[in-house]
Amino acid sequence: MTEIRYWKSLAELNETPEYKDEVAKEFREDIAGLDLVDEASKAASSGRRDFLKLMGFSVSAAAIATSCKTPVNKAVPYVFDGRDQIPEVVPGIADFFATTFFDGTSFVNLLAKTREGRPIKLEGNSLSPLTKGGTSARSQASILGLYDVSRLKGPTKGDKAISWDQADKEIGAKLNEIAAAGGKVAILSGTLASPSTKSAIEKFKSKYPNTSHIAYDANSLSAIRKANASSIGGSFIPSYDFSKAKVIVGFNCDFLGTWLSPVEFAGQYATNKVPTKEKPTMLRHHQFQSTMTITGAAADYRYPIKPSEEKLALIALYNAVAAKVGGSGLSGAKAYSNKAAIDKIATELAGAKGSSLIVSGTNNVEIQALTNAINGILGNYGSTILGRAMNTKEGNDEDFAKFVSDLKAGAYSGLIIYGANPVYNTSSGNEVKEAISKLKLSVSFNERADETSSLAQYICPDSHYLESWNIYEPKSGYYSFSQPVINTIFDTRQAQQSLLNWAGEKISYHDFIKNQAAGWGNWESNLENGFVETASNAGISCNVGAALANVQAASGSANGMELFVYEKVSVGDGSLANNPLLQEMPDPISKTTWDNYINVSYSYAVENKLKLWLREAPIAKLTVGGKSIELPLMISFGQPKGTFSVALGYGRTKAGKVADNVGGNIYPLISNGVYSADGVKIELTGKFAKMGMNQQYSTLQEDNNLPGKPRRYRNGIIKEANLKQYQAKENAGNEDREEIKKHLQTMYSYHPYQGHHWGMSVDMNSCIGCGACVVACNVENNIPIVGRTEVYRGHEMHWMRIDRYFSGDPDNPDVSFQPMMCQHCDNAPCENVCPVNATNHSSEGLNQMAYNRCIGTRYCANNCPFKVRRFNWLDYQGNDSFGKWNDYDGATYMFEDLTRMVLNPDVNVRTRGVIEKCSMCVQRIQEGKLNAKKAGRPLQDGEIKTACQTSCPTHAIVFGDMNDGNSELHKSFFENERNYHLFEELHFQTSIGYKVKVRNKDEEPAFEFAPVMDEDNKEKV
Amino acid sequence: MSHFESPIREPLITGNKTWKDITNDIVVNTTGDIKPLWLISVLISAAVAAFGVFCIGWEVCYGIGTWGANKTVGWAWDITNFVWWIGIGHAGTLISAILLLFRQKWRTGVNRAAEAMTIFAVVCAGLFPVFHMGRVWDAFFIFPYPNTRGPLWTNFDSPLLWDVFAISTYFSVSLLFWYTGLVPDFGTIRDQAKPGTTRWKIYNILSFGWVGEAKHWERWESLSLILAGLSTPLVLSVHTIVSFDFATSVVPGWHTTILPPYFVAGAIFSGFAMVLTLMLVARKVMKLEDYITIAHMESMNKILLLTGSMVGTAYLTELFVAWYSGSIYEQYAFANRALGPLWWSYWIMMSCNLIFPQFFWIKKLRRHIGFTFFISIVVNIGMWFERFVIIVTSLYRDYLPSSWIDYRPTWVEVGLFVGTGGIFMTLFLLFCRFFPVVAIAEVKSILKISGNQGKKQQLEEVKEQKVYENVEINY
Repeated sequence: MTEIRYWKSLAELNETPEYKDEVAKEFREDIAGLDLVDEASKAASSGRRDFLKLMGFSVSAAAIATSCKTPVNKAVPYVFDGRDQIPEVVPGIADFFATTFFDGTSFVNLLAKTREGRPIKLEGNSLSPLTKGGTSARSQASILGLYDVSRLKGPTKGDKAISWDQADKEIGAKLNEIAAAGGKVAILSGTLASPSTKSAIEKFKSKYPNTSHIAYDANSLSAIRKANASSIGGSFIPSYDFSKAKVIVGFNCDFLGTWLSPVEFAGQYATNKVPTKEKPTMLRHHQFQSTMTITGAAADYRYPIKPSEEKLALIALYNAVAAKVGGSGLSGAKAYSNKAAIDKIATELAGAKGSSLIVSGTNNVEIQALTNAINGILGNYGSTILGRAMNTKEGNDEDFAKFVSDLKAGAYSGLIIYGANPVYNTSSGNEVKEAISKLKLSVSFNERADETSSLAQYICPDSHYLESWNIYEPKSGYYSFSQPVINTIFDTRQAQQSLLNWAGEKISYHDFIKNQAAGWGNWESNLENGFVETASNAGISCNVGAALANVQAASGSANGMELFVYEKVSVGDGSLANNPLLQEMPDPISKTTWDNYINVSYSYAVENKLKLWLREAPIAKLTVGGKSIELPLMISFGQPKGTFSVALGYGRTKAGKVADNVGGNIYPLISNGVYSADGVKIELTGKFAKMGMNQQYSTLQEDNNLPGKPRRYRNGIIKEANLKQYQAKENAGNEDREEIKKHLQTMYSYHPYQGHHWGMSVDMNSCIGCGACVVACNVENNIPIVGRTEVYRGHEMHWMRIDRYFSGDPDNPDVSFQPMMCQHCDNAPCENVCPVNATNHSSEGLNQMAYNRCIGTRYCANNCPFKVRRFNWLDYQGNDSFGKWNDYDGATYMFEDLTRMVLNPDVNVRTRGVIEKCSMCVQRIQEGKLNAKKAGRPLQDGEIKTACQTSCPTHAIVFGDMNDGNSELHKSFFENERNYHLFEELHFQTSIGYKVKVRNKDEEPAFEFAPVMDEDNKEKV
Repeated sequence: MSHFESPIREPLITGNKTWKDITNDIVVNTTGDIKPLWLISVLISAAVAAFGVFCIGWEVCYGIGTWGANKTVGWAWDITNFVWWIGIGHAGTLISAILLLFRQKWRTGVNRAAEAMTIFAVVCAGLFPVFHMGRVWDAFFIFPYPNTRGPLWTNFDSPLLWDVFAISTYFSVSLLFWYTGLVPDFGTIRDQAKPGTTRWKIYNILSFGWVGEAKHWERWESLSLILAGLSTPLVLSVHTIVSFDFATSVVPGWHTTILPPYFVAGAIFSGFAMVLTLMLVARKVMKLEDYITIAHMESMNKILLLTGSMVGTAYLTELFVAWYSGSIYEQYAFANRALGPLWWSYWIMMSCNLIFPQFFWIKKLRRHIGFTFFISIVVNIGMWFERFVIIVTSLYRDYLPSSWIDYRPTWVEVGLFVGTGGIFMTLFLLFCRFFPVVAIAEVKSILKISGNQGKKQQLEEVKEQKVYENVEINY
């Protein structure tokens, strides 16, 4: 084959010598135009030097221009260096580690979700037989405690930072000094519920035998132990099984919110709270209460009592029950006023022998003994009350009282404070304060320089539980593990390690607990599960006679107005007060954030013509036994007449910038271990407080104040029925739905939804309003915290809220909770009004937000019938490109670099000026879909769970695919007659369904609603 | 436009004016020394305007959170002010377009100022939709421009987008119309100046070299008619579309079909009230009593009475329909407006807009300057409250009682509103000084027929013809 030759010129074709020469040259000179350029450049006399000059100038000019104030952003790349590589840690993929939350009251088995090595979220551990995957608001919020900038950065001596070596040396020397002088050392702690910590204390004690360990609880239940010592022959708190109880009677016992182990109890309680087609029964719950709590709200019947009436009611109940089931009565007591109620309850209890439960949250031996006696004669021991000890409240009031007097008397030379804060949370604060300064050695393990620790000579800060190893034993034989999921952020050290070090043990606490867990099976699989159970129930029986021996029926009287002190679901006893998530979590009943206040009854407000209106509350001076405190007054529907109530846990002064000076501290006004008082006075100060309330209007029916009111107005929002109605007709309370459905017609085509069609069902029967979902949603979706003033101004950002409505008598109303989030309407009013298409409809039925596109006209928020859209009014996230303009209080909670470590990398952080709202955890939906796709299989029902769903202790929320005929959600929506949608007659076609609330009451639902006050008709009050 | 007119019609120009008088009377306001009263007014207005600009800056820097709007009440003073200003901006175009088409001669005395007021009111109105955005720096997203993001278009279903088109169209047509009318008058002012001076040059440019040829006049009149034809539907459409912001939503109290005619009537109502407020002051201060006469005022008062009654009818219709609809949400919305916590705003609206204008059934009051001024102020207030009632008292208690809340404005919101007042007054005062406040050419066109001497002549003519034998009219 001949090669075809291409040529460009004759010279090339002929290969003339000139051509060959030219080709051979490296730099040809005859390129057309080159000479012209050359000429021009010569003429312009800008040669190489000029070029260099010019370049030099422009480069330096550009360098100067651009180097001014260019921020240096430091980024830490996530690098596998081959040495510490953990194979399962993949960037972008979350890892879960089992751990345990225990705040001294509530215990939760958790999974810590970490991304690229940093914990960002806590989920319930569904393997746990105790908490069954449920969580609480406090455990959900505790993630932010890890990133709390108010924690100490390392050990301190006075105000000075010192090294651990120095601390160990100096403290060791002083301990030896004390030991040599024969002085005593006290370790003061809260409830530890940790066998390993106790072993560490034992080790310390063996080195320093003159050491005593005193445990006390800020909200104490030590009377239960004391009563049980005689009643059941053991000074321990037994386990309770609410799932076996058909009739529950609570006496000031907030077992769903704050008592002993609320997450566990809520789960048990909910199992019998939901009637179904197959099992149309429910438990019956009576609650005697001195303030409205979520447990009271969940109850079928509530009886407002003064704290002084509790014993009378219990005696009356005991006598009534004893008369029915046989047993000797108690005489000599004053009669309890509501005899009808007692008779009714006694009849029900007698009909549910062995499957009922009477509990009291009052720290009083007589009262606890009475509950024991009633449970005893009903044979509840062994069925609903189990012999396995519960360790979530270990405090002993008598020990603590003795400790205080000893401390005052100078019996101790050294004091080690471990998680306790007596200066704040006892009424002996001043005594402890004075005594501490006289000690030879005072050491605190507290993580912050709080009211007590700041008085100590040394603070050796404990690590956060997510940085720590530990074993908890909430119930005897049930061991739950805590493992570090991140290196210590600050230079902190576990308290147990410090104790071991000072005891001279050369062992790390990790090895120490590993040794302790040696007999419990495989360490790693136990750790993976998060818990191990080595024992089950023990037998238990009650000696009714011995129990009653504690009771002096005739004694006890109270005068004047009475005060009841309770614990809030959110900040609890105050130890977690510096957590802005908890501060901003609205109280389930009052819907108030960032405050405690004096709850007064509706009648009291009316009788005293108190001008209590809504967002601005008058401040009153509350005087108890000579001590007083100023707090805002709020009406609490359901507050018994003749009583006030105030929450614990507020008024911190040295907790950190979040909690300091929020609310008032009630501990100094009451005696240690007694959470009520009589002879209480309030007087108005004439000042007003701006309350951060999430919900101002308490009822569905303000409409009632207007003329021509139809009685059953707006009852389509909360639909309810009683159990009898439900048993007669499955769609009881929901009868109008059929009619509504008939009329749903449209000219427009529906969205096709060929693949998934996401939806969510909320069971209002199992919802107890605890708020775990609200906090979980905040953490999962990077929702900013805005502070009290902004909440006051109606600027809170919660994507999810729990609407609370009252019905019936304002002095003792029924309460309904309705979790409210974006309803993901298929006919969404928000979507068509956005001028820039920033909110639109996904092919899977989600109403989605494109934050980048949003220009913030707020039209969508106006047009949202559920008012779930939230606007970034100010720069709440500290990411404003305009700079830090914020001057509102509480603006900076999310601004600290450290705090921002908690942000979920899968969710956008929204900027000022855009609307945001519930996305139905679209990031989780995407993750679930991708996992299924990678595995090449269809998505399973239940594989995707939203943050609110996983947090719920009663599993009230079900998320799923409406198009999947076998899904839980499909069953909820299309097979459960209780299901209804909000404003269905308006044809928004919401994707969130609610289930009719069924109360186990004999009466039909009341549709007369409590009146409402606001600023403009305050004169009516 | 000369035609026979009944001599018993009141003259629209009094004081035996000649054409030269007219020129002098109007132009004199743009020459001569600056009066201290004017200067002080401008300084105060400009200071208020500057405060408004400061408030805008404050809001942009800190965020919409500086306002009292909240999770439930997403719009409050911002959109209230927007609708109020837009409504005020309706009178000018109505006067210049619709009344032109209806050959209402009395429009000539007030149309210039009314149109100027329209333009300035729309400028003020336009600020609110822009600055009520959370991210005003991305305001351009609202325009459907070709882009590389898909391309991503605006949502043509959104009434807010319709607003953008409606208002920008209205603004440009109004501006054009106003300026077209100004061209021959600028020529007149120029001609009064010494040729070659800066003043002469500026007005020459402003008048586009107008020399008053017959061809110019012919074209000018054709253009005026065309623009009048274009503006007429706009007068009706702009506020109709603004009302769609509410009418197409689902909020109880907004979701009503009556809103478009109700809004248009309300807009004309408030526009005329503002024209009266301004012109009653201007005619006094600028000595224009001969051009803006009691007859003008009475005509406008009749329009106030008409539109006020229309608006009032709409209020009552709304109440009836709420009851008749059977919708509990709708019923509650209206009951709450009238009797709820913000009842006072509803009753301010009712009394200012429905009750007070009814006094104009009495001729004596219609022709009473002081009373008219008082009513014009009352109507301005009432119409602001109408928008406040529609927006805030519908939003703050809508479907879910859990989200019900109250609303209080902050100084930033109030400052922004007051500031637009300052902007408006500054622009108007500048207009009064530098522009012909009365349409010179147009007034001249009616002098023969509607001037008082013309009327006298007409009267004598008819007397001669013995048409009206016993007529005795003294002008």
